[in-house]
Amino acid sequence: MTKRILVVDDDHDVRTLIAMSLSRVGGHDVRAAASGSECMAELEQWVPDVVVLDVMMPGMDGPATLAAIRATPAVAEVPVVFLTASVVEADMERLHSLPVSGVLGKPFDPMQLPTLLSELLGW
Amino acid sequence: MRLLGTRDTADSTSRRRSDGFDSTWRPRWFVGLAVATLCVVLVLVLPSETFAWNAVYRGATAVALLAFVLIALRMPRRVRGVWWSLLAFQVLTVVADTVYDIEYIDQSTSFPGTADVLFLLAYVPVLVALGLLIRGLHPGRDREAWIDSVILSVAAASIVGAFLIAPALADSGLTGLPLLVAIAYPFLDLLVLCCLVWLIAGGGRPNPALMLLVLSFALYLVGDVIRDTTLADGIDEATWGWLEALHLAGLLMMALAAAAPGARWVSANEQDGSSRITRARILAMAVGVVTVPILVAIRITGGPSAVNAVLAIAAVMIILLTIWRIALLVRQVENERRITEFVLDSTGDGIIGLDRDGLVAFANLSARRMLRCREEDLVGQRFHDIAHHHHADGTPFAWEDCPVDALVMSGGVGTIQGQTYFRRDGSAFPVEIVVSPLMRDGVLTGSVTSFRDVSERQAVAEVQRQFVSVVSHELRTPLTSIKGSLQMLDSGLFGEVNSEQQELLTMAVNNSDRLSHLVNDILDLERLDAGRMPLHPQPVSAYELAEQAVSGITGAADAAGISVTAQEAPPGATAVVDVDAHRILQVLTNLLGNAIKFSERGSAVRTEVTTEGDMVRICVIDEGRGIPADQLARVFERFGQVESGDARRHDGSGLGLAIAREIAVRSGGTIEVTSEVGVGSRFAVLLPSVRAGGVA
Repeated sequence: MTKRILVVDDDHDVRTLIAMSLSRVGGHDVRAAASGSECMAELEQWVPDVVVLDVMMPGMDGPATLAAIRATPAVAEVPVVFLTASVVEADMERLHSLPVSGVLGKPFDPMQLPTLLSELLGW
Repeated sequence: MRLLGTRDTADSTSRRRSDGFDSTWRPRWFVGLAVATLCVVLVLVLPSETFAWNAVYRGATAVALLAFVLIALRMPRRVRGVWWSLLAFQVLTVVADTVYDIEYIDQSTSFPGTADVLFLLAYVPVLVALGLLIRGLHPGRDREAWIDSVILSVAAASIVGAFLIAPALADSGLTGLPLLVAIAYPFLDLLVLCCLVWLIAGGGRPNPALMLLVLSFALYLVGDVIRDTTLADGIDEATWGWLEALHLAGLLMMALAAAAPGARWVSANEQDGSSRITRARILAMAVGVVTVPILVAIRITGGPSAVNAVLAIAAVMIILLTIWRIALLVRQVENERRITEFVLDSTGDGIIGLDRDGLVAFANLSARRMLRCREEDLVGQRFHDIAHHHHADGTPFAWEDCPVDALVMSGGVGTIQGQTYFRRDGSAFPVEIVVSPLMRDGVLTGSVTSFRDVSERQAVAEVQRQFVSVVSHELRTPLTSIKGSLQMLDSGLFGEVNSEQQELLTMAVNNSDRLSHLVNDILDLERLDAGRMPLHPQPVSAYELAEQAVSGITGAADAAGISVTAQEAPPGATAVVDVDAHRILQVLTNLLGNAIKFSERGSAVRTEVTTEGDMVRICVIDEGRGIPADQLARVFERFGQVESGDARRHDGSGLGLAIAREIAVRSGGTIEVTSEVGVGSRFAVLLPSVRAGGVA
């Protein structure tokens, strides 16, 4: 089933890779944003089924963007999945403690990413 | 009287203490004591000056003297002066006693006679011996011991002199030289008494020989007092018997002292050098200090006399010495207080003394500085209410819930981390707290709580954490793009590639995998080193772990043409380990990966699980090229490769086994390896097993 997915990552290449993986491999409807503020602007016009959100971004980072999403009534219930390159245990614990559906690590296998996302969200 | 000897036989040497000081009582010493006691009793009960009495008295004296000579001559150099002086004293005393008896038999006894000259001369070696003992046992200027000795001796001598000797001297009617000689005896005895008190007032290791020597002199002194008090009336038969018995007892006791444990280090300077202030000593001094003025007060009513004048001088002397002693004591206490304060204030940790109710008894300088409090702000206040009243998040922290105060109350010892203290101005800082109980005479009186501001440590840890976080992000983000793009291309999703393009693509995918592993390994090691890889142990079957690891690596094994199998659990077999399953899987995967890498196509790799006592052994066994014996230890070293170039040939970082060992060790186990070149290797991971009811 095609889902609407918003990919948020400041790194152009990674953003492109995720979008390509989810659209070409997973067959989903994917839009991309390069920052937390772009993400919020996009959400004003388009409500996705899930937001795949990078953690470490300049300006509004992942947790700040998540807080903004949860504070916006129209999209407050949209599931969010973090994508992080961090291996620090404390970071992972902090991310898991936030209201997200899951945390995925980088690097990931783009051929497996859609499956991982489906498993996390119970699609 | 060889029985009493202290010859350096192999037997005695073997029983000597490791520091060179013998302290073993020998059976033959007790035989000597029994014989000596029997002799003294016989001297008391046998009719005086009979053949039997003379035989016992003279015989015992001669044997004791002979034994003393033999022992004194064999004493080590460091105590020879003491024992030879005492030997001189013994010889002079025996000679003087004999001369006295001859003069008595000849009816030529006069006072003072030749015997008195010899008796007075005998005090010289006695005082020399006591001086040597004091010098050895009281190194340096031990003024306190000296003052205490003088106070006690003068007090004791005043009592004996006032009530016993002075009346006897007054009644004797002696004048001139005889009176001087009669006074010389108690005066010299006073000196001896003073030395004896000085000797026993010091600290250090108890010495049986020294105690026997003191007892020996005490017997002599009692005899002298009896003799001094009977000057006027003459010595009757019964008193004479007692005097002779005391003299013999003193002589025998001195010989026994020479043969007792500790005789060879009786004056050795191995004491702690400081006199001990004991309750008994303070009580004895207090009695001495109080007695003499009372004595003067009693006697002064009898009108002025020479004895009263001497007593008054003694009283004044004691009072002055007591004042001096108290001044020294106050200075000593003040010095010790300053040293304690200096030490406490010099330490960088805050130190707080708490009573059992958690009230502050003292606070060192660092504590006051860290809390920005004055001493009066802290002392007498409940410390929790001053510095520990809130949690770090600002919620109130009840005293009843405080783990520090719980430890203080229970008298426990412990280190408590993750606490926050508040300064007087309300600002907070993280602390690490160590609580130790304060015991007095075995009773819990409170605790010493030391705390350390860990702000800097936490800041450094945070910087390190951020560094790893940033580095991992900066390395993994481009890797994500490179690896992901290659994997998508390699998947054929965007169309087929020709064989040359495929070869290049495979090469790029493999190398990006290798780079990815290297980054992961380096980050894992950093986290292990920094203790930031917490393990979450849970009971898990070792068989299941091995199966999961094998299942996860089957793809790589198939690609390499190697069969990998996990041993099936025998029926009823349980091998449950208490480990972090995710990390142990990482270890096993690493070992299996290595086994595959270093095995020839067509060979087999298998796992095996066995139980050994409280440990479970999971083995990864291969039929690869094996590892030379001299290289076995190196394989667990970081970047340790059996052959240079292995890392490049086999896509290894050289960190995998180092990480595996770290994880195994931190899981409470270890990794072992056995190998034979050309036959294969066996890597064994030993992990703590779980039995019914918990970890074995």
